Amino acid sequence: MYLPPIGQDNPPVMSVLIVDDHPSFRASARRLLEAEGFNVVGEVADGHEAIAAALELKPDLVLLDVQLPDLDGFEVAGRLAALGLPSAVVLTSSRNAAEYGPIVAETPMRGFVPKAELSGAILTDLLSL
Amino acid sequence: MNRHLRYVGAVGVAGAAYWLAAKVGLQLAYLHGSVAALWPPVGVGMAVLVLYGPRLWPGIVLGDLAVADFSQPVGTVLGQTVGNTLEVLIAALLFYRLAEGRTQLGRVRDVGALVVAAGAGTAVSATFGATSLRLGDVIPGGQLGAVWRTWFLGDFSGGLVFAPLMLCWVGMRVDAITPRQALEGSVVTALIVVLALLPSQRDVPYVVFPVLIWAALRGGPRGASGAAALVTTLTVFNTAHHAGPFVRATTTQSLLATQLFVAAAAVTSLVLGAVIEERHAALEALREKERRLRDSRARIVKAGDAARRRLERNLHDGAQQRLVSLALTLRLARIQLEKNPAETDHLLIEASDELQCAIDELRELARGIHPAVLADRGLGPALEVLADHAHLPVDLETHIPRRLPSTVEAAVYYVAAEGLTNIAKYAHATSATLRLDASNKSVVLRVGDDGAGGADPSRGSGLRGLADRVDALGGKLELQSPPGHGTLLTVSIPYER
Repeated sequence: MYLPPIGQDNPPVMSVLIVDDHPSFRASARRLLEAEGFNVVGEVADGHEAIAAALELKPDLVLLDVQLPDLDGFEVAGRLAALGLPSAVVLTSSRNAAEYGPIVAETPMRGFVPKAELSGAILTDLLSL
Repeated sequence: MNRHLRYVGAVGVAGAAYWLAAKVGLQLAYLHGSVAALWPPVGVGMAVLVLYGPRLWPGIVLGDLAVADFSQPVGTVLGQTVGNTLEVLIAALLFYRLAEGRTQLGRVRDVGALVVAAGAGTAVSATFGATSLRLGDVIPGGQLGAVWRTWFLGDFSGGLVFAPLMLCWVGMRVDAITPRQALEGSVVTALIVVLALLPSQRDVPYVVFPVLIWAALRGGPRGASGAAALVTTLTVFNTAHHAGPFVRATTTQSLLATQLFVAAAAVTSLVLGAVIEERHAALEALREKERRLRDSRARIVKAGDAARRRLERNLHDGAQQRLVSLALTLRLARIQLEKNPAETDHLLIEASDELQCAIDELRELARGIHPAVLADRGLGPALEVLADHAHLPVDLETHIPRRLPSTVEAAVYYVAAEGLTNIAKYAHATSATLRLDASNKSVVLRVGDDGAGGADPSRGSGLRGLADRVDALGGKLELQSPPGHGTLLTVSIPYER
């Protein structure tokens, strides 16, 4: 029998969908986030899969790479917002946000995290904003 | 059967053309009979044999016999016909050979070829003709020299005027003439006719030269040959009818004066026309070269952009991903240090491996950007490294006395690298050869293999880019690839020490 954690000391477990076309990043990110108490509910490799998976899994958080083989992350974030999904979107990239210019500010999302700086703590901070 | 019939028909047409030209020529005769200042059949016959082949020579015989004067002894007639046929044949063959098959008189050397060819053929005819007339006792011995000269100059002028006219105008497409050109041509023609008929021209034969020059400047060889033919024909016709500036006390003097004018007008016009044509051709070649240069420059810029994009891609997909992964692994290790210390050791080993991978990938990438061995130690050692790393045995031989300019070294290196890559990818070869020979002035690299051959030079953008690189250094890149006999890629690049 499995009991979900109860009590104020244990915040609700966040469900995460990881979207990135590099398997090595997905694996590293999953291990790190799981170690920090996130529940990684899915991993997909491109934009269309991301939208389908988000609709199906309804995760609390979509960790979305900017460079994807089909749609880019900004486009995916826009479509997710247009679909009215409650999931918070955090974009990530091996580049800095500044390299992408004004589109970062115009995209409906919770925040931007450079890949190398990814951690559970940063995601928690962004989500509590 | 059909072919023979066609040949006989062609000979008949050639003979008719010659005969017709002779009939026109007789209208230009200064004495009734045959003494003409300008003898068109020579030019017409020459052009026919040049344009349609020397095997039509029997047509010349037929045409010549058709206008022969049979009141003369048969031997004299035959002697003249043999000379006239040889004249046309020799002139046509010699012109074709000297002008290297360029029959449109578009180069000054082609005009020179025409002068030499017409002169040589005509000398033969004049010799045969004058001798036959003398032997048949048609002319007294004292006139032999004068007859030879008149004959020579008349035929020579006919060749200079009517061969270019036909060579330049036969086969011209009427619909290719613009209304402007037609108008200009009409004005030139009208001016020439007016000037020829004008009484003032009696004393100033040179007034036609500005018009001849105009025709040559604007019309090239075609305009020049057309205007010259019109001017000379009218002048000879006028003189034959005792009008114009060349009427002299005796017929012989009139002939000489006219013939020298005809030769001078024809050669001047043709040379000017050829110069104009050469200028057009040079300009066209320059434009073509400029276009090719612009294309190759655009390709070089594009190749540079593509290389940078590829480099960014490689960095992003390779070393950068490793380092991101490494950062995450280290972060995880720190978390586990508190929660699950046993796991930390394993994570650190993993991080160390990832770091090593990143270092290896960066080194490979750096080598691809510009091999350090090439910059540090030169082409010979760089090619050795290339041969060692190749996917098949490479027989390397280098003769290279000293370091070459760095752009040349790089070009040769990349050709060798691309060549070996292509061999490994496409050639199905068992071995390859690399030969490098450097002299004081140039370097030659040969990349060969014993594979399938049949390589398509337009296949890869790689080779195209290398050809541009070599081209930019003033070098040449050649690909020989007969199917079944391997492939040989040769690049030679000149350089200054």
